Amino acid sequence: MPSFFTDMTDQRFPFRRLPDDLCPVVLKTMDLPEIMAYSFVSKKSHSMVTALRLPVSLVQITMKTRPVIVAYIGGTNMKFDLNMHENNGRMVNLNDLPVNVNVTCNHNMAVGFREISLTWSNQGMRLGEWVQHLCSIFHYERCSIADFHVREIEMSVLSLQNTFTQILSVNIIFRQEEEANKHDILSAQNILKVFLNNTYVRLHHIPFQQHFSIQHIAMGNLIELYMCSPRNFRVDDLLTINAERVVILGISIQYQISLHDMNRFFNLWKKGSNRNLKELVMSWDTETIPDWKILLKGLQATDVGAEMTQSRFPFQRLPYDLRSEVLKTMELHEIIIYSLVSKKACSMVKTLCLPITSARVTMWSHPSVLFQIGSISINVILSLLKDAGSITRLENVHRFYFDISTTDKTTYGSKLPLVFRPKQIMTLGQWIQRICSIAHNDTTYSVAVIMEKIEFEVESLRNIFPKIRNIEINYLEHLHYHNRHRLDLPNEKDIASFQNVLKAFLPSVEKLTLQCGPLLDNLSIQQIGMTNLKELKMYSPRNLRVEDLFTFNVNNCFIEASEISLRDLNRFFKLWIKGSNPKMKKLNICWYTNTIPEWNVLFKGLKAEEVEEEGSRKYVIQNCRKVCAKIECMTTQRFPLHRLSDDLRSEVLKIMELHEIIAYSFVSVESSHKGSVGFPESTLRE
Amino acid sequence: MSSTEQGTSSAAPAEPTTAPESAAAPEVPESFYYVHGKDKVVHKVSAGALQHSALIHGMISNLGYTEEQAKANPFPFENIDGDILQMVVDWCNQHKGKPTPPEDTNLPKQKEKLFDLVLAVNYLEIKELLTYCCKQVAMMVKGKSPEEIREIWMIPTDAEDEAAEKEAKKRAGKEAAGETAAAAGDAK
Repeated sequence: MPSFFTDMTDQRFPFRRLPDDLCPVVLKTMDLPEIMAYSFVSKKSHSMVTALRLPVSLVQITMKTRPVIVAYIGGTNMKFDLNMHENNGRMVNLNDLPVNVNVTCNHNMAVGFREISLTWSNQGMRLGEWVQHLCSIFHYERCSIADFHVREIEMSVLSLQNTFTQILSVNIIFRQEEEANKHDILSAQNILKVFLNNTYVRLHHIPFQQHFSIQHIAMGNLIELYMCSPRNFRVDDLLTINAERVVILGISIQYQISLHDMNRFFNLWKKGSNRNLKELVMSWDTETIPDWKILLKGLQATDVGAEMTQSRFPFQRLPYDLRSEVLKTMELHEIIIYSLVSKKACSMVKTLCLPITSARVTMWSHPSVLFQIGSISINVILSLLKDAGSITRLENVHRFYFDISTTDKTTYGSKLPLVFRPKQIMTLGQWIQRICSIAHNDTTYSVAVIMEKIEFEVESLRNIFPKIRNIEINYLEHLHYHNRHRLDLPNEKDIASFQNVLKAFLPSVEKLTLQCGPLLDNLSIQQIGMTNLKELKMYSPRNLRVEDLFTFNVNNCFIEASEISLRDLNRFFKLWIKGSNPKMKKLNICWYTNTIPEWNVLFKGLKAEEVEEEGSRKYVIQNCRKVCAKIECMTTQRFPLHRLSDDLRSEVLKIMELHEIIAYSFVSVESSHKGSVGFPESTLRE
Repeated sequence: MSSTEQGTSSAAPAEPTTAPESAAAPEVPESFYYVHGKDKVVHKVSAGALQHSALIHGMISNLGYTEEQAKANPFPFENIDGDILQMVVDWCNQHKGKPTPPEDTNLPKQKEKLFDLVLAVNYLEIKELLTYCCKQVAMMVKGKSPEEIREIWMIPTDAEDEAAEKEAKKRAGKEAAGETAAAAGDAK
């Protein structure tokens, strides 16, 4: 039986004997997971990796029952899921040892990038040490966010101080649906004691009470204090706040804000209170229209809005290049808003070639376009008015308002959303077309659709999204949100809509991703595969038969199936040898199985030659055109150690390293197996 | 032609220092040039201040005028209003040989003047001042909705644009027809 793990222990290379300046050169050629793994080898290796100064844009640490650390490095994100022991109180302590760590590496933009998923031992390090280790590599600049779920953690001030250094933004999260208990308050107080200087503090559902008032937070030297749905919030508390920016959103109707109190606050501000305050934003639910007279009583306020609307600037009369210059000084979301002014404005924005890396169009009851521009996300939502009914067709004119929000991952800052109702009468399709047109042709587009809400017609889709080369049609996503129970029973309307979307894009698209799409005989997987696609990715395709693969004409193909037979795959390889699928460069099939695959079945009669390359074992087969293909099998295989006798298990443990033995002491055996098989990236030509 | 000399004290040649003469580099007297706008009012500006303007700097770099020649030949900028040119000259004098600050509070607040200033600065190729001016224009629509932007920046709607284009085409057609008719008349 072929083995798919290569025994690396017989290979040695005296890496540390390389000259000092060569080691980083080698490291720089390595992928992120390997660089990170190397950092755990020794203290010296750790400092060598730290010295690489990986270009981290953001580190997000989530402290909850299962802590997670995510680092965003360029377009790649690396996620460390620390699996902790479950104890009764479900508290996570920084001195706890993780059971193991799931490491995932993903690429946001690269199409065809395969997610790397690994399970590491705890490396003999406690939770706090894991945080410190990773942060020391990622933290040469203040770009870290820490989320603390107060109910699920138990941390002292000292341990927090020692572990979390250089944190820029702190989220303290109370359980929304539950009353806060003493533990929650103590947890929050400890966190606040540590992070009240020069930080962004965000409080979610904070319950103010007698021994835990805003005064505990207010005196800190904060850049921003953000409170989402605070409980028992009083306007008088604002007077003690020392932050530069205060945002209080989602105050429920239960804790109504009095306009008299607001007026008192403004009066006191005029007299000199809150000297550091540069911006205050408050939003609360109310059933009455605010009376400006009460709010502004005695304030001698002037109507700036009226003054602004009186001033005019003949922007269109500026030369074209000057108009461009003005736009270039504006922020990205402002440029996008400007593009909605008129057709000419939109085409001007298009010529600016905004560095939009990806755009995600979500077609549902509130269609949206999410632009990703570096670390900045700009979400343009077309929200239907309550009395406007529901969207049925893209050609219809609907009454809706725009909701444009901006988030910057780097600073974790978000701008206030701009909400407005457009006066121009345009169909939904025209609006989406206009918004999408500002992205350049290389932008990665993905489209998610909700079939039962909107009737998608082939022609209208072609008009709205012309020249789109890269499409993801996501049938699964909305089911997660809305009616998951329908996963197994797509109705005729769903199928028709899904197929219309496919028909619209299939002739022109180069890269196609299908998420769990319902297909019928009139547009089968086989037909999709026969089109001239550069890349086809299918996740949980319905009705997949291996016969469909024989006629696939795509260059790169990725299929994640629920189950696939090795005999069928063997048949596929035999037909490939006879000359089928001449265009295929790469095929990757992935499925989950509870049994260890019989690779003898897969290679039966294939005359596959085993080759060892780059430390992993591969098999080469040759077709009638003398084209060679490498077959690589990757499994996250498991060895049932617990089924060995005690003596044998002891023998195995004796030859392991000490830290591995310690790690083993925490291990729980997993039963699932994941298998995949396919041609790797290159095919060899003799 | 009326003439007023607008040179500021900062533009005057520097006083000799008390340092030993042998150690000090020989003093080069600062040269001055003269510009005038639409109103023909002549402004005296030092070469140092004029370095901000790529256009004027390019013009004067190879002239080698004497003081008298420069005075006799002021640069005419007929397309720039006198008060706008005055603002530009003031700004150049204020920022002569200094690093430009990130914010400039000396820009005009009246939006009508800002428009002419942007055009003038663009023409004179004063990069830093142009950036300030563009920022000032952009600030006018900060936090505004498309409808408000359209109003503040006086942008026509698509329908108005289309109507204007149609009108322009119609006019062009009429003019072309008139020209051919005139040409035919001439030929006869």
